[in-house]
Amino acid sequence: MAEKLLEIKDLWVEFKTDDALVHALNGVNLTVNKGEAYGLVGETGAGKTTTCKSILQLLPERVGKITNGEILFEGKNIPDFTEKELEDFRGSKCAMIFQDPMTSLNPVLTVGDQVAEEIELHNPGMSKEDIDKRVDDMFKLVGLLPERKGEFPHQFSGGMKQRIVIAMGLACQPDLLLADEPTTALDVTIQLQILKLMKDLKEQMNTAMIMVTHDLGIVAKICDRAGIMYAGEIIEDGDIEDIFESKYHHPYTVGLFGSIPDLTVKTDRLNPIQGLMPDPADLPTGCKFHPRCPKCYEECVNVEPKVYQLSPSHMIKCHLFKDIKEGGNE
Amino acid sequence: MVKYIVKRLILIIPIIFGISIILFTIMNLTPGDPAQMLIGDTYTEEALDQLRAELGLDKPFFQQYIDYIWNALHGDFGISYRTRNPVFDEVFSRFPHTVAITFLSIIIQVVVGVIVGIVAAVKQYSLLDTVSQAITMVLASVPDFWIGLMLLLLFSVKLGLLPLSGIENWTGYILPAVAVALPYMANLIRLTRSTMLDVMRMDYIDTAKAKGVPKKKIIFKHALKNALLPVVTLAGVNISWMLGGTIVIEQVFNIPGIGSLMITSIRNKDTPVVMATVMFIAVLSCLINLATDLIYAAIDPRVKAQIKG
Ligand SMILES: Nc1ncnc2c1ncn2[C@@H]1O[C@H](COP(=O)(O)OP(=O)(O)O)[C@@H](O)[C@H]1O
Ligand SMILES: [Mg+2]
Repeated sequence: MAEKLLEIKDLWVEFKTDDALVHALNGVNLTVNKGEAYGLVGETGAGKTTTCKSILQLLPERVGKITNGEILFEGKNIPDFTEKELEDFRGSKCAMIFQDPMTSLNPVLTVGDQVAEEIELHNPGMSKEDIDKRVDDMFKLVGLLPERKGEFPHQFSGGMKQRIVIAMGLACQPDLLLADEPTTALDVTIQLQILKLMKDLKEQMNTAMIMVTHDLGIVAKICDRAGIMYAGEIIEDGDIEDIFESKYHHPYTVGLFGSIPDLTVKTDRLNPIQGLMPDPADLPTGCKFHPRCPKCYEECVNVEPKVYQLSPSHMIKCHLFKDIKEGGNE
Repeated sequence: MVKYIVKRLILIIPIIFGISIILFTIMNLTPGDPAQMLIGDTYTEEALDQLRAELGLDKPFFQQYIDYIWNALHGDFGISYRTRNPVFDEVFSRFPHTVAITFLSIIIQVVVGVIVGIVAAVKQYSLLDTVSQAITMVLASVPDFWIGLMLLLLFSVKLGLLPLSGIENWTGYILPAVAVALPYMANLIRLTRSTMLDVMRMDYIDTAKAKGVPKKKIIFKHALKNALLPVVTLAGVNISWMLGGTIVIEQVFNIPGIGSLMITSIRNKDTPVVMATVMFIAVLSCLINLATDLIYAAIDPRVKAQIKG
């Protein structure tokens, strides 16, 4: 049995803005084991970034609030951490790569300084030369020339900036890396390079990872397990084989697959999911996916579905599966 | 960098020429004969003509301008029509007062403005934030001469701590500098607060937090440098305004600065003094502008790259 590194239990997060109360996370459950890559998949607005920010306690002050649940890291509840414990946790145990490399580096500090700062913070007493050497090593590791560490972010391209951000994320060899759509803002060719880099680094350093994406292809390439997120819930969760090979799926997952072009089958058109994500300030009753679900029936409108365990590794939150016994005949 | 500075310095020349032509024309177009004003009520026509010739007023307008520029380029800014003293001495005996008030005032407004602005932003919605917001609103909308009068009443008349008027020693600069500073300071507080709040919402601040950077370091290392850029710009603009704009305050505090000289000279059609004063302010403004841009470049590497390129 794999060792649990991170366990999120029934996490609820709200954003209180001037005009609305946004229910961003509505009972998220997920587990990441040591050294494992977990794919977090979902449309824009599903709550992926909020999940990652909650783990690092980076929700905007006063606006974003955890209203229920636990985020256990090696058994300790992160929301209970003191400010000092959080500072030690961030960067050294758990690092995050943000969605947009263009804006995630400080424009007035050299890139070398920004990487060095992290190493310095988490290795008190380390000599200046050692820090410098470590920065050089990190630059080489992500395929950048160490000589360029004295330059500023605006002197680098988007792909290079993302490499710097990755170098920063991995500089203290964290146990868990939160990668929030690390390639979405990049050109396709650069995307592949960055993904390959992340995959190699993960294998070299044995870092566990949450790979946030809306692209199932990326999940297939990199992840060991994955969860599908919809309106602030994980509606399907399983090993990569469960997600890609099982014949049982949440209708939303089916829809996600239906919106990917399959080059081996001749189809006239793609089948995108009808409708839009519900407004998180005004969520539907029952199953949150029911207004868009092709298999929706009466119960879906009124009753929130339970989580059904189809196999020890595979779970789906949908009424359609209530008659399928645990360990069912997949 | 040096190339850039030299280029900017050379650019000042056409600006000064432009200003001098416009100003000289305006002074000539406005009604009134300086010679007549000078000579008083009882005079002979000959004496008046002689005075005109002495002042060079009998020559055609264009000739007058060219003579003026020619002499100015040789360091001779002429003789004041009114006092018959060299303009240079006239202006330079007064400038130190205005410059002292301006710089004391800019130090007060920037130091207080930035500190209060940061605290208000970091402790947004706190009591201090609310109170400072209210006070800045009042200060920004009240004229500086009124503030000056109130300060005089409090510190000089009631408490007797500071001189009432005139400049005997440096303490005489304090009240006028504060009076000038307050409205500008109010704007600097508001600007610092709002840019600081904007910067604290930037992604790179989240990145820094995610690295485990302590809060103090986030504010002073990661946020402040970014938030200072617009503040530097505003402070530079403020200095230029104050150099030409402490006129009212000089009246209130009875300070023999450049403002009062300018007013008297304009009233007396003392063209050489007006010309020298305005041009001196213009040159200073250009230099302050340049200094602002250089400070900007020192803070922001993107601007520095443009200047070098
Ligand atoms: N700072 C915020 N204030 C208000 N609402 C927010 C804020 N951040 C996120 N949200 C809302 O929370 C929901 C989830 O957002 P997010 O986690 O960013 O989704 P994703 O990363 O999956 O695209 C969205 O509806 C979004 O509008
Ligand atoms: Mg997101």
